[in-house]
This record gives sequence, C-alpha cells and structure tokens, in this order.
Amino acid sequence: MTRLLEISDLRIFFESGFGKVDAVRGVSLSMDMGDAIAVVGASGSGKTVLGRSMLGLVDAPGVVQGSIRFDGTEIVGRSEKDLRGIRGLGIGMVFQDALDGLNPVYSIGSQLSEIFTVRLGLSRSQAKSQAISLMEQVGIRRADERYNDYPHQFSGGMRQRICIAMAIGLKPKILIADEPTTALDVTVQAGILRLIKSLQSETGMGLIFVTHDLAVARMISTRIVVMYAGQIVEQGLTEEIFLRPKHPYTRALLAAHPARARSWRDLEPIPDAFVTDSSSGEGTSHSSPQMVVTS
Amino acid sequence: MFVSSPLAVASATWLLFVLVLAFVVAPLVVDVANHQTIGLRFFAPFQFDKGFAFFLGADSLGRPIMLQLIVGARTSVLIAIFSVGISATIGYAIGLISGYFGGWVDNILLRIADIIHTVPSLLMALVVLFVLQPSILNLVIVLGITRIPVYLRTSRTQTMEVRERMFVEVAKAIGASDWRIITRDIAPLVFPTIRTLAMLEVAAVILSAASLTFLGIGLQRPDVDWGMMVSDGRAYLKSAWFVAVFPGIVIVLTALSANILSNWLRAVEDPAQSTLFFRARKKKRSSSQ
Repeated sequence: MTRLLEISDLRIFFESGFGKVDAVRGVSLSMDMGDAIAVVGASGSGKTVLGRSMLGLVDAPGVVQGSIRFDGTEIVGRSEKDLRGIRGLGIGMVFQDALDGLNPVYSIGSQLSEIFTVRLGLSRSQAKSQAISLMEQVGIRRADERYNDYPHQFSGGMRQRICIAMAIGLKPKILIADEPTTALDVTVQAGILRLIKSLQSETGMGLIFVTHDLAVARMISTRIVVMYAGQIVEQGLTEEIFLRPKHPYTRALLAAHPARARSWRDLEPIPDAFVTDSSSGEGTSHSSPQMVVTS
Repeated sequence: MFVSSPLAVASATWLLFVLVLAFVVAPLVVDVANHQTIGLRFFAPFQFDKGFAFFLGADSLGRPIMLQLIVGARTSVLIAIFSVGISATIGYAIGLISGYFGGWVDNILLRIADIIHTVPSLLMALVVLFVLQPSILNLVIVLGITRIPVYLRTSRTQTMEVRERMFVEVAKAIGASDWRIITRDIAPLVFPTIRTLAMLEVAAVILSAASLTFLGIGLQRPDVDWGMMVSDGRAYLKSAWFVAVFPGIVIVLTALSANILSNWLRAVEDPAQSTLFFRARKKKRSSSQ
C-alpha cells in the first residue's frame, strides 16, 4: 500500500559564493492519513526548508536531491506546472508570518473566494458562500459581515486564522504548518493550536507541524521528529520522547525548556561543543553558544 | 470624500479644463489662433480693446496668445499622454517580468535599459528626428522610448521587494501560477508608484518636447505646443515678458495638478490611508452596530 507521504534520503543544499551549504542531510520520513508529526529543532536545523521542499518551494540556488513521494507521485524534480496541481489541493501550507500573509490590497473575502473560482471553477456566488463557511470554520465571528473587510482590519491571530483557512480551503490531504504560532502571543497561540488540532481530527488530514517549541509539539503531535544540523537525530511517539529521550541533543533541548526552570539560571544552554561537533566543516551556521528558548 | 481635499478638487478641475480646451475648443479656434496681425505685435495683455482673444496679449507675429495656448494645449496634452503612456506601459510590464523572474533575462533587460539611459535622451531624439521626419507621431515615439528605463527600474525594484513578501509565498503555496501572482498580487502594489511617476513625467515630457522644438527638430509651425511658445518668447523676455510667461505658467499649473492628483489618488487607493477619506462612512457603520 502506498503511504500518504514518503520521504527517503532527502538532501537539500544551497550553492553559495562560499561553496555548498547543507540544509538537509539525508532525511527519511513517512506518514499516513491522520498522523500528526511535529518537527522540532533549533533555528537553522533545516526544518523549515524540509517543509518547503514538500511543496517544491525550494528556489534556486537551492538544490533538492533524493525522493519525496506524495500519494505515490514523486515531487522532487517535478515541473512547476505539475507542482501547482499538488499545491493547495494535495498539500496545504501555513506560514510563520501571518501579518504579511494576506495581500493588503484585496479584501479577505475576495482572496478566499478567488481560490475557489480559480482552482475549482466555482461561480462567484458559490465561491462566496464557500469562503464564508470557511471563515466560520476557522472561528471568525460574523463572517458574512467581515467578508469585505481588508487584512489591516483584522488582528494578527485572525489573520493567521484566515491563512489557515486558505491552506485548508481546498481540502488538502496534508497540512504543513511552519511555526504558525511563533509570531503570535501565548493566548492567541493556544486558540490557533486548538483550531489546527480540531480541523485535523475533523478532516483526517495528515499534519506536519514545524516548531521549535517542545510544549507546542507535545500538545499537537502524536509523533515527534527531532532535527539537528539537517539530520533527524531522534524520532518516536511524542510521550516516549518526553519520557525517555535517547539522543543527547533531545535531552539538551528538553533541559533548555523554560517551563522547567524557576529562574533563568536553571536553564541549560545547549553546549557549544555539542553544537559544533556534528556540523563538520562547511555546514550549518552555528557559531556562538546559543540557548534554546521557546516563545 | 472628494470635497474633503480642496487641492485635489482644484487640480482635477484644472486638468479637466485643459482637456476640454484641448479637445473641444481648440479645433474651433485654430484658424483665428494662427492668424497673424503684424500691427498687433507684442500687444500688451489685460486689455479688452481688441477683443477677448487678445486678453493675454499677442506674440511676435501678432497672434493672440490666449488662443495659441488653447491650440498648443491639444498638442502638448497629446504628446504628454501618448509618450508617457507608451513608456509607462512598456516599462511597467518589463519591470514586473524582469523583477519577478530575475536571472539572465533580468540582466539583459537591465543592460539594455542602462544603454538607453546613458545615451542622453535629447541626443538620441535629435538623431532619430533628424533621420525621420519631425512630426508629432515621431516625437511621441522618441520621447516614449527614451523614458522607458525610468519606469523599468522603478517597477523592477519594487517588484523585487514585493516578491519577497509573505503573501506571494502564500499564493505560491496554494498553487497560483506565476502569471496570476504577477498580475494579481504584485502589479496592484507597484501600480501606484508607476502612476505617480507617470504624472510627474508629464511635466518632464512637455519640457523635453519644448527643448526639441527649440532646437528646431521638434514641431514645425503651424503646429504649436506650450514648449514652443516658451522658447519663442524667450528671445523677447526683456521687452515682452508675457509671451514666455503665460505658457510657462500653464505648464507649471498642469504639471502641479498632475502631481497633486496622483498623490491624492495614491492615498485614496491605499486601504490603510483611505480611512482618512472615508472616515464619515466608517463612523456611520460602527455606530449602527
């Protein structure tokens, strides 16, 4: 049986003026409908690039090698035209920066309904009612009144809800969420997470949630993949990882979590030596000791 | 909302007035305007003795300045609209494509723009108009092509900036085509800048046309435009100031109106700024809820 998503030996690097910079170094991963995978790791560990590669959104000078099979079809090396058919309809994506995720010159309603008229060929009135029900689905109150409002009239959390609505509007089989709550404050964050979780259980879509926040990962996922310097260092069921982290990096990540500390002195910075040892030679951009702090 | 900005009203009124003069009144007075009465040479302005037509005085050949201005308006407006239209449209479109795709296409287009930019536009116009016949059409084409780089650069730079914005990424992730992203997502955000630039260029183009006319390769009599009138009057600035000053004032007023109106349009079109103009409507709505 073909799996919903199967990534094998994925390598992504960027050709820069100073030589090759590796972002993802041999990642293999697979998932089925209903799975919720959290990809965690520090900044620069390659988790965002991994998410983007599944939509074929790694632009030049980035080079993608290996294989990503979505529903049996290969994504790596596909033509832009074929990829457009998969984006939105097959795989949807929510980005980090919700404040700039909507075009300021069009109303929310026209941006949402455009998806339906263009991609599904619905009529204007059908698209409008679809858009309004989608807005209600993501928790916008009085959606029909707000249909003609512009992005600047919405708060950050609401804009992220609209972005989520755009991503799930075409009922994709996989939703990739790239740190969708990082730009939002904690109270709004909880609402967005709950929304994504409930949308996932309603639709049964697969969820890949990229985050650097272990607490968020624990709340939303059934499986966790820990990335470090472009490689998967540990993966397993969420609770397993929290109870028995095997890899030293995972242990370091958990030890650096602020929720465990009473004052900032209790936080364990990720040791410098650890950070540099596996990024041999040219590679990740870690250079100074860093503390993994969650939002 | 329009009334809330008296300057915009005044500018729009002036431009409308010029357009009416240029396309409705001008054809009716063309014969009278070009009639030379040597006896009325440098007839001083602000007197009604010789009829309303001579209110603004007469030029070196005794032609009524007011009617000359009206006939000149048609030529000036035509040249300005068409050459600015040509260069703005081509520059805007190439800039969008070049800025969005980047790469070697962008490089080649930009080098061509560099070349056009380095050759002084006046020199290029001189050569082209010398080889071809000096006519309004050729003038429009030459002025249009030489000004393309201005728009191309602006449009390209702004496209590159907008291209990196998140909503373009979002559109891509939903599966929007490049064409759709350029026309729907990027073009509307670049357009206000191009429009403001185009309106600023109206004045520059009228003046360029005037310089070409001054060098004797632009328009030829009996065609007349405001620039030609200024350069005609330049020689008599000491003895008869009004011959050059009146067309000069008209050029300044038109250019200024174009600027003010374009600024106003830009502010009104921006959803964040337009609240300033639509405040009345917003208040009504929030009180009804």
